[in-house]
Amino acid sequence: MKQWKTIALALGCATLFSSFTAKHEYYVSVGEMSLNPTTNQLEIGLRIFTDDLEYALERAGHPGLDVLNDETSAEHVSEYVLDHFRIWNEDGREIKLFYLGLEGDADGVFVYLETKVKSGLPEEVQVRHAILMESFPDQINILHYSHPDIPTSLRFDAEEPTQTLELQDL
Amino acid sequence: MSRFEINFMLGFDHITAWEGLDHILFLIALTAIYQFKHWGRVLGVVTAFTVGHTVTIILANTGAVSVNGPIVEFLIPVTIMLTGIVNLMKVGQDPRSNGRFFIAALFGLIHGLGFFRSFRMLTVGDSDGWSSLLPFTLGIELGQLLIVFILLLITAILFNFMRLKQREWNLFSSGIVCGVAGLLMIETWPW
Repeated sequence: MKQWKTIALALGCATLFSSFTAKHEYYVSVGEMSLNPTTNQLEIGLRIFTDDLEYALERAGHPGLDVLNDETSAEHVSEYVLDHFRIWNEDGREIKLFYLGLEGDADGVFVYLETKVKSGLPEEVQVRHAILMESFPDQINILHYSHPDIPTSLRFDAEEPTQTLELQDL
Repeated sequence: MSRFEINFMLGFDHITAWEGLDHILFLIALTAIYQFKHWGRVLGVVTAFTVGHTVTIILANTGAVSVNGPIVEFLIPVTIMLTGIVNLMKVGQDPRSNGRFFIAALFGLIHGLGFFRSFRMLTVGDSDGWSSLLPFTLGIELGQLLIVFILLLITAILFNFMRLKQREWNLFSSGIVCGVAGLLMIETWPW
């Protein structure tokens, strides 16, 4: 009989436990940034889970958007991404980014961005990568930068959505 | 940080964070019959699990197997439930039995399909993905060992100071595990 009491207790705990449990989710996005030596511009590719991006856009006021196929996708995705992924130079002046497009499948998409600066890029920049963070508090964004000498990787989370990155040795 | 460190940390976080709860439940069920004195077997079982999920990550990465997300999400709690049920059977309660290595590796194959979606995310900018595999897998393995160590520590305290018996702990934890797995199965029911 004692066993059944133990099992009943365990099932009780299980119910309590599972009220915290959600389906297994992994809140991470990984992107790449490189400095094109020919054009001297930054080129960025961000890989984001498609359903996460669509959820964030829904929260931003665009419910039911199919980011891969809808005509209005480019407009909404670029607005959202450029709002949450930003770069500033050492003086705090924003370096404008341009949305190039998106490709991918139902699992994940790549969003492509680039800079179009005329006067050369600074040695060091501030990067804010807060994509999806307003929708998922545990979101982690990784950005790999292919520095000509030392490739570095930055990790952004809700506590530190902005990081300093050394672009090049002048 | 280097790419290696980042991928190692993501592997470690994947298993130890709250969102890795389904894998943690599996580890609870897998090690519920062990104590510290069985450390060699614990290490073996945890590593067999890692071998299992690494095999499927490799297969999925080469395209040899394709991943159906919703089915995998459902099968993971099924493996957890089955391990919990094995714990309730007499044959499953012998810590010297080698069958548990087999269970760990076999079910690890299914958990690997679950890891693959995250793994694919990490391979951005890594042309074939292989250099991300080692740090990610090492991170998962170390996270698993940490969780199991904490579990054994808690049960050692319960066994020694609260006179809890191994069998009672096994029934209690397997009950929790089966209960949560059952609810997860309902939640992830794909049909």
